[in-house]
Amino acid sequence: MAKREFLGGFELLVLLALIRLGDEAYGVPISEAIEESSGKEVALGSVYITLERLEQKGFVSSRLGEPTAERGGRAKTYFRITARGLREVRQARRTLMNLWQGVPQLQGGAV
Amino acid sequence: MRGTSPPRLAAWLFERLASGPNRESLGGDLAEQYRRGRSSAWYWRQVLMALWASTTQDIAHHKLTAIRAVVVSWMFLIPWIFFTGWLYGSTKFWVMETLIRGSVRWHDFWVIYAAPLLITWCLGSALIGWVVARLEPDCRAGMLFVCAVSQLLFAIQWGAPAWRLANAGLPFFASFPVMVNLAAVFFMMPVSLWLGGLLAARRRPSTDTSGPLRAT
Repeated sequence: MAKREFLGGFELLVLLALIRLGDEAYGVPISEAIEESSGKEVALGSVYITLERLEQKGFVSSRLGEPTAERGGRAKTYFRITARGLREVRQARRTLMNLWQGVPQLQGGAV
Repeated sequence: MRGTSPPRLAAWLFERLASGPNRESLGGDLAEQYRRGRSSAWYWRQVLMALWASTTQDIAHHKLTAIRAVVVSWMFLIPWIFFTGWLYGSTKFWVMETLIRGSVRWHDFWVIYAAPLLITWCLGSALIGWVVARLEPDCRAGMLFVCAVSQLLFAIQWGAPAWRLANAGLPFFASFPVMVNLAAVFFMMPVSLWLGGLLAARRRPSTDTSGPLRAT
C-alpha cells in the first residue's frame, strides 16, 4: 500500500473553508468560517501556520493583495486551494465516509 | 470609548516577536478584526496564541539555530556567574567595612538578600537576550524561549539547596531572603532575558507592500 500523509483535522477544516470562500479567502474569513461551523474561537496564528504547511505540501497557493489603511497598511494574503489540494480533500472525504459507515454509535443524531 | 488602535503593548510584542512568512498579513488581520469591534481581550488572546505558535514553529524549523543560541547564551552565562560570584564574595567584607558601616538596611540589601549579585545576574541575562535576539532576528521568540528554558538548569542548580533551606523550618524573616533569591533566579532572570531580547528587536520592515509576490 502506498505510504501517504493524512490531512490533519484542522488542515481539513481550513481546506473546506477555502473551497467555500473561493478566491476571496484570507485569514479573517477563513477563521470566521471555521468559527461559525465549529462554534469555537479560532486562533488566527494557527490558521496561518496551517496554511503555510498546506502551501509547502502543494495543496494551497497564495498571492498578496494591496495594503489597506484599515489593516494598518498591511496587505492581505489571499489563499486558494490547488487541484492537488482538492484531490486530497476528496480522498479524505472518502476515507472518512468509509470509516463512518456501519458504526452504530455514529448513526442518527443521538450521542 | 474604545479606540481604533489595538492595545499598544500587545501590538508592540507582536511586531517584535512574531515570525513566519505571513507575519505581516496576520498582523493586518488582527488589526482589521479589532477595528470591526473585537475586544482588547480578544486581541491579546490572539497575539499570545500567535506568539506561542511562532515560538514552537521557530524551534521546530530552526533546531540547529536553537542549539547555537543555547550554546552562545551559556558561553556568556557561565563566566558571568563565576566572575560576579567571585567579585561579590571577595569584596563583601570590604564593602561591609567601608561602605555599609553598620547600616542594617544596606547590610540586608548587600549581604542577606545578595541583591547586587542578583541584579548583575539579571543584567547579564538581559544582555544574553539582547545578543540572541540580534543574532537570530528571524526567529527571536523561539530562540529567546529555548535560552530562557535552558537557564532554568542554572536556576534549579542554584535554587534546589535554597528551596531546602527555605523549607527547613526557619522563621519567616530568615526564609524570606531565600525566597527572594529563588524568585530572582526562577522568574527575574528569564524575564530579564526576554526584556533584553525585546529591546534588541527592532520593528521589522513591512514585506507586504509591493503587490503580488507569490504565484497563484
